[in-house]
Amino acid sequence: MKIKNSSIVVKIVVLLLFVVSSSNLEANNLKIVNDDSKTYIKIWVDGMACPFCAYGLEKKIKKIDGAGDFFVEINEGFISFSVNSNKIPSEEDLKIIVKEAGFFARKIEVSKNPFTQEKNE
Amino acid sequence: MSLKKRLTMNKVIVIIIGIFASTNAFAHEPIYGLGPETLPKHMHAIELGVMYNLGEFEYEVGYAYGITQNWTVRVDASATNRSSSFDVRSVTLRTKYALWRKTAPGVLKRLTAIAVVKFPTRNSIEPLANISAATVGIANGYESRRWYYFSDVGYTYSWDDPNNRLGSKMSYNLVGGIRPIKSGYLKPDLVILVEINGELSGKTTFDSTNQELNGGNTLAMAPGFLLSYRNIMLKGGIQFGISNTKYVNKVSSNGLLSLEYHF
Repeated sequence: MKIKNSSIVVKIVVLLLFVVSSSNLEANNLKIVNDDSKTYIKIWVDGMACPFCAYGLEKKIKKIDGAGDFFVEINEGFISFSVNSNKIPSEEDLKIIVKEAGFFARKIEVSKNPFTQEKNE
Repeated sequence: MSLKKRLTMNKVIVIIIGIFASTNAFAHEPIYGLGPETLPKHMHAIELGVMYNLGEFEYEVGYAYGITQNWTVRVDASATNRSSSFDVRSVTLRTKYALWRKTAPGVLKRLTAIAVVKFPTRNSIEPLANISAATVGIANGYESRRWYYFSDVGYTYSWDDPNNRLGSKMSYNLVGGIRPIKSGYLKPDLVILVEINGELSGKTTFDSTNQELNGGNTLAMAPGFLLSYRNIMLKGGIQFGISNTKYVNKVSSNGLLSLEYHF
């Protein structure tokens, strides 16, 4: 009888662990799919001719509070990165950042979805 | 010992190369010529270089800072170990200001004013280290994902005391470059350059008298490379004389290699 009871307890514990881990997995997946905390910014940068020079822009962008997912497509001439949705820098601020790196921000796009899955980090 | 007794024409050439060519490039720009590159605002750069010329090595360390995206200042010091100890050959303060800048997708055009001051180092072993010099110049550049073009002109005035001074120099450089492979942001990036370096020398003055048997023009060629990965760049070049006129020697063959780091 004692053995039967302990077997039931083990089964319950295993079941609980499964339920807990499944819910965690679901929550994580949900976080990836619907991450409203991030906003993605894409800047088309004129004058970005070499990777070495683009590093100056990377350094400046990474100083933006909450900036991440940094990506540079040097051959197409754009950068993209994410920021906290409650701390989105203004277009004017972004233009100044690009100008201080020695370039010109020709076009700025903002989206709730990533512009690319790639990161340069 | 007076300047007159200590000078030889070869040494004159060495010191002028020292002012212009010792690892003075910022990022993608000519290795021997003046270039238009300025650092981004608040960017720091350090550079360590070595130059081999006339059988001896010259070592150089430089620090640059971008005050604004258009205005960069840089300090360099170079030394030789000719006498089994390091002797400071020159200390220079250099500044650049971008006067004009035009951008397009993957293209950057610039016109930059340059000023360099070489301070006397009061070095008893290296006589020309005691000479002061000031250079003003202007450089323009075209940078694209594939091609590079640069041209510049500079004027250098040197002096030791009012009665003795080296002839003034006018340098002029024409540079072409190509990026053979348009690599991605996180890949090594190679640019190959070919420079034509010219220098017109005026007459040296001793005891307030122009010396007749000096002055003239030299022309040199310098293939080089710029290899970068993110914020680190390795630069190298070899310069050899191709012609000379009047009383100046052909540029002695020399090579330089330097490592630049931006942060």
